[in-house]
Amino acid sequence: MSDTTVNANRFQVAALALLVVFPLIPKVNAGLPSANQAATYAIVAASLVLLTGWVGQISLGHAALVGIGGYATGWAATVLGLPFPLNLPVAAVAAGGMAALLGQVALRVRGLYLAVATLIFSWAASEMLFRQQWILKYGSIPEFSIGREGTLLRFDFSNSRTAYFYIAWGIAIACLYGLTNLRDSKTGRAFFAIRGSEFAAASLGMDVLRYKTLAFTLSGALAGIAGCLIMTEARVISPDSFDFNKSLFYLAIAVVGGLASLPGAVAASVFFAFLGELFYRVSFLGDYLQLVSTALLAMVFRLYPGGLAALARVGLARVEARAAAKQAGMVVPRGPRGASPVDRLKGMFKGGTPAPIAGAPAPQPVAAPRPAPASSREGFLNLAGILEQAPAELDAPPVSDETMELTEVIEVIPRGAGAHDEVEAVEGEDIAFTKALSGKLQLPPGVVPPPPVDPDRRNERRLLIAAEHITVKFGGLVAVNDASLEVREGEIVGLIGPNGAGKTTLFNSIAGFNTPTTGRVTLYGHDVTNLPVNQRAAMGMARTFQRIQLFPQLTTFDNLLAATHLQNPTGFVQHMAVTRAAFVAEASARARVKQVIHLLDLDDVAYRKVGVLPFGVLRMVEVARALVTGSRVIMLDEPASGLDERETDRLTDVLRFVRDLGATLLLIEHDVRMVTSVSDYMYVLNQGAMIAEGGPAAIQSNEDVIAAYLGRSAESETAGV
Amino acid sequence: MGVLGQWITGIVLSLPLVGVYAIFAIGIVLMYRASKVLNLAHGVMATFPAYILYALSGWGIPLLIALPLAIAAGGGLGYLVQKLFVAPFRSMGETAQTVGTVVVLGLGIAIMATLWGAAPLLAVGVFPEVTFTVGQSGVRLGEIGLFATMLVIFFALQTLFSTTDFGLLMRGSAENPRAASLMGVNPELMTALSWILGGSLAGLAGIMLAGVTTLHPYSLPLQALPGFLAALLGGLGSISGAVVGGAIVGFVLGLVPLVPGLVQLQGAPQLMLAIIGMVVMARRGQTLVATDVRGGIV
Repeated sequence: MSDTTVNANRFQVAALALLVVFPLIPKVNAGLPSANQAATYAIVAASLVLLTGWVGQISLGHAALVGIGGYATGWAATVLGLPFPLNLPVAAVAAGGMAALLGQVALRVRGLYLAVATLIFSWAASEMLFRQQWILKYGSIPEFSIGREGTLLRFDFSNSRTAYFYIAWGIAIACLYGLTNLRDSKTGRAFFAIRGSEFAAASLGMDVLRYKTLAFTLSGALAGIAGCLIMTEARVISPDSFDFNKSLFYLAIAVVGGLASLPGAVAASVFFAFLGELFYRVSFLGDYLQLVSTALLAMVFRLYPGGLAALARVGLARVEARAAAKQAGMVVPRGPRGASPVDRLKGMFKGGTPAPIAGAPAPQPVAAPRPAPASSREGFLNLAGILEQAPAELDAPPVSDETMELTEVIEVIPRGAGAHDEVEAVEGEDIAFTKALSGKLQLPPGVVPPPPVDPDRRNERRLLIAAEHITVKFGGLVAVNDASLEVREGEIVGLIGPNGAGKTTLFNSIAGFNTPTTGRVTLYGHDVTNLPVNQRAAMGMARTFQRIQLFPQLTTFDNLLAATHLQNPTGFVQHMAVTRAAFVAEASARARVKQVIHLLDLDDVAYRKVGVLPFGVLRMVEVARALVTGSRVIMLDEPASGLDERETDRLTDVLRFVRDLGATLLLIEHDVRMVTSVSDYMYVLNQGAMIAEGGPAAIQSNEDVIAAYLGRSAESETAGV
Repeated sequence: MGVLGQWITGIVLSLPLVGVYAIFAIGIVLMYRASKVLNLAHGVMATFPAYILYALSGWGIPLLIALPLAIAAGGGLGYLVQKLFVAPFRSMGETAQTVGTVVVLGLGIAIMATLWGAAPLLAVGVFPEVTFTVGQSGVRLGEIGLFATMLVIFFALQTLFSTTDFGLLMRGSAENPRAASLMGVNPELMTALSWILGGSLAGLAGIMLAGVTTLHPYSLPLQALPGFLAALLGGLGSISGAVVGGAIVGFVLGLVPLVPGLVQLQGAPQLMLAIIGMVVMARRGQTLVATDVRGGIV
């Protein structure tokens, strides 16, 4: 475990200690109102980190959501008679519900429509909603207190600022804890994956709209919680506190914090609250608060887009370098204290011994994780069963625990260091990664490859994919005309055709990226013609892309980890609370990824950011990612495009190997040599129509196919490969 | 004066709104086409030139000189925003770039509020103070001027983009910068020009709007919000779409209060627009789901 985590944990402990003693410090504690404000800032900023930093969506109406939380608190207190802790969920549900509603509309579209929708919402809220009498009358709550008069437990909200301080920060820390756990879970990975590529995310079985809506709903609920806290402290709120400028202010806090970093958001919240206090106390500064804070925002954004979080990281690295220089060779022992569940997991899978879980039995060896329920469904291989046999030793990563850190949108970009350095890195690495392209592919013992395909007797095999009489029209253009194909269990099926033949269109109809004008697609015997991509993936269909759709900021390991989505049955509530089930599922997912990496000999590149890997290796990573999903059917879109001869040969071996593991493959390809050598059965498409099918030998000697490719026939317009 | 007359009056009174929102929307579309970024700092680009005109007139500089200078300030602001807050963040994606324009919005409002105070000011009118009587209310020359200016801008830009080589270059480089650069066009320059043009238009509309309302550092920038809605309704792709969007937004804001029963309801037009905006977005979302993957990936 690296020193960074140790130091970061020390900071966390120090910050907590400061928080506990702050109200007890004389004089300083006069700033309690600001310190209380900082807690609500932190919650709203964290909610924006979730939405903007992780999912990449922008909200310009968060203050209005905070307002809804505030008024909902007022409503619950006056109408339902619910006092403070009880009206908190009401506020969260009201604001979260509003967000869900907005999200359902605005998040359907790729792009930043949420920014416009929340802008309109913010406008409509301040012009209309918050001016309605039936809402305004809930703008205050009655005074109330808990406990009997004269006892220690007596707690009067309006007079007890200190108690409120602990409550507000306690709630803020609970929110932050949940979000931190969420970030490094299946849900968090889905968020990052969606920001990286919605197509890839959907093809891994992620419901893009659902996750985007979930993110905005959670974000809105957090804003509602902040609204409840504001109302509880102030007892009176006015619509002016929730206008558009306030939304900008919240966004400013998140940006200064680093936009993707929760500790950064907290630091920025404290900083802005401090600034407010300072400008309030020093009277001649009073008028300049807005100017100074926005100028600061602009400067941070321009000069240091990574925000306070990036500054801290650089600072920590520097401190460590100095410490390391001082006591070379000394290893800082890492105690169990302060290790988050995620840290423990990281330790477990990165070569180190896992840090013990307090109160838990000794950690089980994770070599034999329980297969997740999803893998037993018909569309999925019993990958766990297959992999159980495989050795699972993986070298410790060369880079330490930065993997998830690298997913941040706004990374520290050293000024002056440009693309040049990156190119050099790629060229330098190319030699080092040859193992990923030449290592031995060995079937785990006990895995029996399927019998070779006899083109004449393939009907005896189980039908996995059937495309029946598919026609796809784009306006007046008929891209695919009444084409049918079948993919049967244990086969590698190749679909070839000259440029413009309609291969990709047909492929996309099967994969779910377009809907055929007429015709039917079945998967495992079920009609999937109108099912979206992610639902087909959930039935057991994985794919690779012609233009590689990996997440460049993530390591190979984390890219593959995102593909365990469907195998992980736990939900976001479990992820936030790190339940035992979530912990076990995460451990099982990591074990599976490790084994697949080992199986395909990608150990060398396991902990490299994929952004620096050579193209040929990226293809292998994409195939590995498809394999990690455990899907019985894997579809490959021109896998050999952009590969040289050596890489193509390797790909051929890898595809056969994947088939021998039990998968069934459908690929479209340009490279006729490659496709005839790897396929068990082939289909040839020309000008939208299927002109031939059969075994590779039959196809190679088929007159029509030769004519289509070489243009011997007079009426054929397409020529060449 | 019957109900019909009241509606005709309403339509005439809505024309200035149509004008200003259409001009805003045109600028937003120009910038969006060039950079694929929604310029959320548009309101600042509209308000800042109005303050510049106010300051210049205060120094006794005649309108004929001050007006072009103020409009140029809008263009310059557009250039700076693109150069400093949008272009450098291209590699980080549109989220970072959009946040960049939000940063400018916040900073711009703060600077204007500090320099000129948070109280409303009486802006300099571009048109002479003449009022025509329409029905029972009056419409000022400045208000009619807003609508007329929008028409002039619209036809000028349509001509520029559809008939001149330069317009073709601008459209081409917005659509595919790499291909355009291979043909010897400098896409950076074209992007900068789009932002300068958009900023100038925002400035022009802002100056005229301030002339018939008031100059205020908080409320005037917010007048760009309906402009975003107009651009969105128009599809964010074409100038004529932006004008149609501007017309929808302007007429809804102007005419909805005339509908019997809605007069009492404060914010009814805003609510109506919010609903229209959401419906349009929801519909557009559905049509975009089934796109060919090749077409979608950049």
